Amino acid sequence: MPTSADRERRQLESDLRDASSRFQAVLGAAEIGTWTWDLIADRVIPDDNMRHIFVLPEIAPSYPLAEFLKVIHPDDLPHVKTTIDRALASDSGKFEDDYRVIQPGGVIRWITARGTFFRDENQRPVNMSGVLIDITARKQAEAERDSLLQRERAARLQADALNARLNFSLSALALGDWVWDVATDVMTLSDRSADIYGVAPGSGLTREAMRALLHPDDRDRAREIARRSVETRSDYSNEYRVQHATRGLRWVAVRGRPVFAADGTLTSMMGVSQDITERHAQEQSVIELSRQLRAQTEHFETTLSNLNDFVYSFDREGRVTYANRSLLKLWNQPTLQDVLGKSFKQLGYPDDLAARHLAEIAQVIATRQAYTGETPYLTPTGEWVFFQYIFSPIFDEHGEVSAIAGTTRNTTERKQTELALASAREELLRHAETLEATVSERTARLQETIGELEAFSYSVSHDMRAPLRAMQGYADTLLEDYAPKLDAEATRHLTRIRKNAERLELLVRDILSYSRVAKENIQLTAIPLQAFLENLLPQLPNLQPPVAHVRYQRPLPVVLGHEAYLSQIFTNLLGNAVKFISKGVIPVIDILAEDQGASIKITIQDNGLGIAPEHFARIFNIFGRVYPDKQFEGTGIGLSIVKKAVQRMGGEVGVESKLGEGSRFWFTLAKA
Amino acid sequence: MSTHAILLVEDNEDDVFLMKRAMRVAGITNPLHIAEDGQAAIDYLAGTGAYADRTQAPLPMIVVLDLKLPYKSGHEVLEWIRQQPNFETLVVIVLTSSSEQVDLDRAYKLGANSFVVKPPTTALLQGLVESFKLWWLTHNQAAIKPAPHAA
Repeated sequence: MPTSADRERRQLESDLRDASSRFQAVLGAAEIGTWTWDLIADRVIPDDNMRHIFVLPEIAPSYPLAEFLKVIHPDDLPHVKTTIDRALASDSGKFEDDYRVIQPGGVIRWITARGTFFRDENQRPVNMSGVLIDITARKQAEAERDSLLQRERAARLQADALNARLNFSLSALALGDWVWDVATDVMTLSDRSADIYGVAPGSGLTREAMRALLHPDDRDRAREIARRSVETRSDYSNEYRVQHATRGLRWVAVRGRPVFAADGTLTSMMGVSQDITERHAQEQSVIELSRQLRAQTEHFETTLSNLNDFVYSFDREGRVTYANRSLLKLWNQPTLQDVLGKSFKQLGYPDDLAARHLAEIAQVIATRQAYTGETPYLTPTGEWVFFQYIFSPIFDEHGEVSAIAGTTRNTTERKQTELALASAREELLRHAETLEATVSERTARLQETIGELEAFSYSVSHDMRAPLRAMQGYADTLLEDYAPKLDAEATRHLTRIRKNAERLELLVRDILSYSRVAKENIQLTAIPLQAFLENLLPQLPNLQPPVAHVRYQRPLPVVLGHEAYLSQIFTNLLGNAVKFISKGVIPVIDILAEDQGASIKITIQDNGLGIAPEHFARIFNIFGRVYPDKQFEGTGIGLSIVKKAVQRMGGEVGVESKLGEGSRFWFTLAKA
Repeated sequence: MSTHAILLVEDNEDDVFLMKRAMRVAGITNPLHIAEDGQAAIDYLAGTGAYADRTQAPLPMIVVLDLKLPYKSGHEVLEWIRQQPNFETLVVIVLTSSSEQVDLDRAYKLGANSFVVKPPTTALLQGLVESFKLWWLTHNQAAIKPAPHAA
């Protein structure tokens, strides 16, 4: 029968068991292990929790300490040992350290351990007991927290930087930010925004009040755009005109964003605004400029493409940067895009022509001068054509040749015309040459003939002299030697023979004189006229007084002439002056000289019969007689010799006269 | 007045006739020998062929020489004469119908002593021959004086 004490003891034992198991349960739930280390025997007795933490290979009631140290993380082991030694040496014998334990499978657990050494009466540590707490979860949470903190800090830094950048951007862009709070219907404007809209900062205007600042035509659209933004929960952007209080009508660009609460209700609108009046104006002018440019480009393109000439440009390496439609057609390429950046070779030019064009482009770049060339060209359709082209330099703002502009004209037709013209010209030239040859041949022949004729007439005249002399001589012989035997009629006939022979002799003499004057080569010399006449006149018997009177001006100039010719001229002219005169009139002849600058005009004026003007031209011709031979004997050659002689000396000859009033024969000679 | 022979080189028999007449009228008695062409004149002076006998063809004191002659021209005859050492100083008077300057120049260059154009009329010829007689036959001192021969 159990006694009450037993019952009590059992109750206590049960209570203790309960308490112990409850303690173990608590410890187990808290993952707290307990241990006792017998330093003398070096045996460590772990409880179940400790066994769970340290998961040793063999199951035993106790283990040497080293067994536990083996599974401690190598990085932690040194400080664990140090802590143990320090605790042993300390008065309190308290031990506390955190370390990691490596479980099988590489799982790491963080442990915090606490214990106390107990000493014997000799102060020798004999055992130690303590607790182990698995703090892995806490360590993880701590690590997580640190990481979070770090990320939060980084995010905050980033946000700050972003904010700084945003602020910078806002100010740099002259952006004003604003927020409209739905609950209060107050528009909060930054200073910049207030300035943009022309209101006082912090004036707390409502949204509609703000909209009233817009140009009336823009208000509805602004309202509608904001409404749709809220509806579609997306950002909006808009440009509108603001009636600025001081600056007048301004263009403002705005970007806005609706902000919603978690339940999806709109709480605010926030956004930025910017005055874009200047930019707008610039944009407008850019738009206008580009429109003009486009129009101009189109105009040029249309104009250039309607030209039959090729218009194009190359870069410095000879790659196409523009080609008009005519050229594209020649190249058999549909659009400009098909040829842009292509080289001559890529466009199918033969190597030599491509090389030539490249050399010409290099020349234009080097000389900065336009180059003009001409080339035959075989079209893709197999037709030979001629092109004339001009490559001109295009200069950039630094004055460097940045590109080459060119125009090319199809000159095939002109070339053909030129060729035809050239061949015609050549033919003409050949004709002309032939003609010239013919002319010079005929001239030569004619001159030869004239020469022959002159030689002939000279030789005939000359050869006539001997028979004439004979005729005369025999007639004279008969008249003189046989006079007694001749009757009157015979004497008359012989006289006629002699007379005619004499006449013929005169003719021959004059013809020979004329021929000589015509063909001789002469040298002109300075002849003092006065001395010349003083010498000549006494030699002419029928000019001496009282038969005739010859007067001449004194002094007379010096002329350039040929003395024999001059004698012939004076003899003939003076002879005429005394011959052609009315019977009974004594000839009076004046010789005058007139300075005409480069030449001297010599006039021989007589008081003879005079000559009718219709005869003026004729009397200078051979046999150009005015009077029949019966009336005035002569050969009709005298004046021809005068004319020829004057001409051979480079002068002119002429006559002024009226019938019955004497004659004035004149000739000119160069001044000496 | 000299009585030496005169050689007239003249192919025209009419001129020869008129010359002989004029000389006769002028009273020139010197023997007049005629050579009718250039070659004959050279042969005469050289004393060859038909002229080998100097009694028939005596060396002349004066040669009156026409220029236009058959076979050898007067110029050629003159040139030949001046090439002969014994005729270097022989008096040669050119009497020609030519009044060409070239003929005149050439004649003088070849060594003619005088150049006279044949006068166109009998009267003028007579005047000339009279002058000739006075100048060349009376006053002139010839370098060569061959032995005179009776005509």
